[in-house]
Amino acid sequence: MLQLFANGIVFGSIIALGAIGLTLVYGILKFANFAHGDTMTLGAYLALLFFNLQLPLPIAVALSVILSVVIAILIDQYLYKLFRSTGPIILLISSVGVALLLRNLVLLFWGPDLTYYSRDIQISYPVLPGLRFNNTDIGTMITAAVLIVLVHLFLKKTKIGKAMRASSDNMDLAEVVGIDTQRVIIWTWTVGTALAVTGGIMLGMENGLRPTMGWELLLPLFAAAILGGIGQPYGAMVGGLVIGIAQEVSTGYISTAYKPAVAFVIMILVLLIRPQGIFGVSKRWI
Amino acid sequence: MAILEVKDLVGGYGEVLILNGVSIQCFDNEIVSIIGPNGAGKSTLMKGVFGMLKIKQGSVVFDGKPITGMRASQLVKLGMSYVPQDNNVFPSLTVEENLQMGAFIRNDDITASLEKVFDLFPFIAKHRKAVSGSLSGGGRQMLALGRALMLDPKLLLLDEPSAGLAPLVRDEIFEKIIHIKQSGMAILMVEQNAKKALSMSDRGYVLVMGKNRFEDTGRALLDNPEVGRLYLGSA
Repeated sequence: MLQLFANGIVFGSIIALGAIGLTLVYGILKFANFAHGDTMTLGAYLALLFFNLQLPLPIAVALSVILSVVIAILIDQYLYKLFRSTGPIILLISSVGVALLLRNLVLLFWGPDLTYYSRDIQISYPVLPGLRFNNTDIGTMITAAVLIVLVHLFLKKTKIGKAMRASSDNMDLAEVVGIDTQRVIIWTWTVGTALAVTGGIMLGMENGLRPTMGWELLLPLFAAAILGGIGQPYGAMVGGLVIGIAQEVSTGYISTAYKPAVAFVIMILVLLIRPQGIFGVSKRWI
Repeated sequence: MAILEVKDLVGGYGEVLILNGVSIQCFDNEIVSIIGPNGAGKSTLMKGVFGMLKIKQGSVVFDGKPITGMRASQLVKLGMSYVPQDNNVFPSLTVEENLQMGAFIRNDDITASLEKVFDLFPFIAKHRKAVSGSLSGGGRQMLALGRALMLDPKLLLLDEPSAGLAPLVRDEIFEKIIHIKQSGMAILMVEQNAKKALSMSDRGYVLVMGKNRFEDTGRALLDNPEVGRLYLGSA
């Protein structure tokens, strides 16, 4: 039980990193980005490329993050930007197209088989009685915690971070008061993609790489974002952990095959009981 | 020379024209009110001036520069601030963060401007750490006004600053607007509360069907029997 809970925290950290980007894009650009999971996949495979070049871990991760961010910004500027004024459905469908494109590019270059960053066997060691972690688990949790603190400081302390929250509240008003909304959009993709790619690499380290790894994660990502209140970055962090823990703990009671269903059930329950999410503000009349 | 000169402005949303040739002027250090019945195009005129409307014909000149069709983000840099009628604060940001966003385009120290806003609105100063979504309607209106002042604009556009406020709060807002004018700013204001608006305005315009109907000093418009009968609800 304790072990499952701990596994949930590891998995939940990855979901949280992915869900923050999803929720930021939703808050600021007002569409559900179905390509977010495949962005994670792309980043994870780019990291594989750099690992195979014998680059050290931090440099490989950094290069993969930078390259993915550039790709995400290019996609935004050359595709999503054209549809900015058309409404969320067209953007959503475009993002499904982007998702397919990214996934098939990965498939084209790296093939469909399960691959690993390293063939070394991971040795887990006891941390507490009844609780074992390997180095990847520890690294994942520490990295996720550090990144979440950094995102928090970015959103609360920097001018552009505050401008992102303001734009998420009201894009028209942001424009009226003179906020550079183009810059806000670029930063949104930068932060969201950087976190997603880091999460994708961690997922690859934990479970290996498959071209569908990110796509399959999309449901838990949405569940986490909705649970936390869509558009609310803090909600996404908490939502990610809750979904991760719920999925892992469920395997102690029901078949692992139902793991994705757990996220789905939580998502439906939240939508029924508290559609605005934990951190969301309900619309009120004044 | 007028700080703002709108000439024969024609425009609207898509194919629907709301403004059919409006002309107004606003000079330094004066309050100009635009009044008129619902649907006259008062708020639309504000949007037209602030680059948020499709302009078909006519021109807007601000501080000697033609600005017709310029985007809001550029106008802010030229020294024009606009306070929309509703949803005019960022609810999830604190009061202080809202004011900081008002100074987004500035890269210098904003402490002095913050202090000035806090001096003008002690209520805002008292709640500087509060999340602005928790403020009352009057509090939000003061915050929106304060945020517009963060750039020390030459011209302030106010769209129905008193809408939906209790009478007591309304008077306080009007008092602050007079105070802002006395600090040397030009104010162009759209108001439902026409009598009050005209009584504090240097000049006023009555807009009907997207066209100028009357223009005069605020006092004279109040005393004009026709304006009174048609638009001020007096017998």
